[in-house]
Amino acid sequence: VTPLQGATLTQAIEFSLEDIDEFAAASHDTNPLHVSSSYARKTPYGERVVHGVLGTLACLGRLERQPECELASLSVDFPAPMFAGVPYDLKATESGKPGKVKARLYDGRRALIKLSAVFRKREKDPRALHPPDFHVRTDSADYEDGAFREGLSVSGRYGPSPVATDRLLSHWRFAGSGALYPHAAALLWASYVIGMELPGLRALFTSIHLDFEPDLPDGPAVFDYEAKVESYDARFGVLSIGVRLSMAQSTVATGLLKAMVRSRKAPPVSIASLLPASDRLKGRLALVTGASRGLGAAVAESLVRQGCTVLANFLESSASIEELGRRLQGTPGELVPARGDAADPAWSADVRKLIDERGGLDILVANASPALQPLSIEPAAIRRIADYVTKSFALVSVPMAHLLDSLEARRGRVVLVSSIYARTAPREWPHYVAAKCAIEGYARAAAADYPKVSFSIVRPPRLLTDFSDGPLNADAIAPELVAVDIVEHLVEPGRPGEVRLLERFDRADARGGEPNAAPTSTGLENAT
Amino acid sequence: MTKEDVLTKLTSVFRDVFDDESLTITDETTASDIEDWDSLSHIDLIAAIEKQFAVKFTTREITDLKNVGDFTSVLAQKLS
Repeated sequence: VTPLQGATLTQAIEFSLEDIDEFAAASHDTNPLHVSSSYARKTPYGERVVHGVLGTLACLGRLERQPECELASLSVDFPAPMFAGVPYDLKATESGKPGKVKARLYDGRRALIKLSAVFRKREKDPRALHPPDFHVRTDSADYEDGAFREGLSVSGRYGPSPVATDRLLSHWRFAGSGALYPHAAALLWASYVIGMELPGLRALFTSIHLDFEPDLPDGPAVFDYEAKVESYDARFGVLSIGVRLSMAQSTVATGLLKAMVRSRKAPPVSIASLLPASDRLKGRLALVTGASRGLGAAVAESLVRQGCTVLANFLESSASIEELGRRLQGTPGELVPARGDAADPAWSADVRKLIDERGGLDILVANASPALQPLSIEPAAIRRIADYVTKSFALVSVPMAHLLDSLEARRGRVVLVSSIYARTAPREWPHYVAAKCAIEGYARAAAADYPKVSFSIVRPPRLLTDFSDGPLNADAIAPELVAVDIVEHLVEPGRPGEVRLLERFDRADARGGEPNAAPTSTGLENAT
Repeated sequence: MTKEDVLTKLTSVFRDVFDDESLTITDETTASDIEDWDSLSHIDLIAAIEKQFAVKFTTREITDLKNVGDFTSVLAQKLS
């Protein structure tokens, strides 16, 4: 075995959305978390996630060359997700043992990939032929939770897409890495089987361990595979899957794959059952930003059920807002979709015209907030922290700047959706805490400027929404429970010039919510 | 089993999970003291501890496990 040179190697790696598409085409792993922006938006990640195996290939392609060697085993953990357009650092060190390489891909100080590879002397070069194209799944399997039991298995025949795989491996400089074409094909298969077959749709790939046989057979990289559930830990939603790959009746690789199964979204709590319909807000006009889902949708619905006319702002999810409108037909109020970016002054100016035509605004619920991922306070993250705070603050400050005088004229109400984290300030959410504190400060200053407006800062506990729907969020609270309390608060007379803080939510507390719970931050809900 | 016995046995599990034979832990050790102690390895850690001590943690106990001292307390309680 050629001893590895000992120098620590650091290289920058960045992925693009095209890289994700290229990998999906090669591997047939077209799980929508990777390939669909609209699907990914409704997950805690907010955007398309880079395939863990793409990150693995990128790392292997950048490691020191391994002439006359071949991969004997590979272990990779994916503790946190990777995204397109973010510069990451690959750091590789030998472990002190000849033929063993350890490498990590970092975002600042957060490890995203932990890789350990063992190489051995190559006895021969297998003649790898392109596999023929054949049928694979094109829609991810979607199992019921109860289906994940020991013994559940999938099997079949797999080969990566030849042309796309050539392009992929050439792009990431795979040749000479010591990982041969069949090794790469086995990794592509691992991505495919997790993302498309088992567990499929709700998969978060968390680790790979593969042991490769020496003397790989010649021929097309077409595998007969079997993947069988060895255990399922329902506490974490973790599946351990034993795998075996063979080519031409010879075993090529065996190993263990692990994946987490994202929880299925809980059915919404019925607002109609919590808050009987009434005319208490009849004749009032409200604007709710970010009203297509989560707390915003629940507040909009609660207001309409009390007779209010609600301009329901949304950016992308027209289907969700249409569905909400259909659900509210026949209720005392009215839902009026108002599509646009609430941080865009031009949109706020347009909405202002609409509001003036209707006689002025009574209630503003500033709820819209960008999707977020945990970040540490460090140089690599400071740009993203600043961008998050800027965007988050604009989503509140821009509509307020355009609408406060209208609210002042009607002695209106402003509700700013902050978070309990503005007080508890948990680690790894500096951007979120800073943004919410900025918004709260802005409200206090606005109260001095507009003394006839009543301000309320709402600090909900962790809510079960698209942004927080992770495996360890069992104690998150349905947003409907908080929304109904907010609307009950709005039905009561306001206190002009005052800023009231809402931190206790009767219905949420009654259901066992923990207002002071820290968020589950580092990765379970964020693993790729 | 005393808390000291538990800590000794825990140290060996931590060294195995984090692949570091020189690792030392105290009751105050938290995830921020061990670079590799992220939420994914936390699951591996819990599984390894459950296997080593032949116990099973509840979801509530897992949520409350913030440092090594929490592990030793819960384990000492379960093993007493």
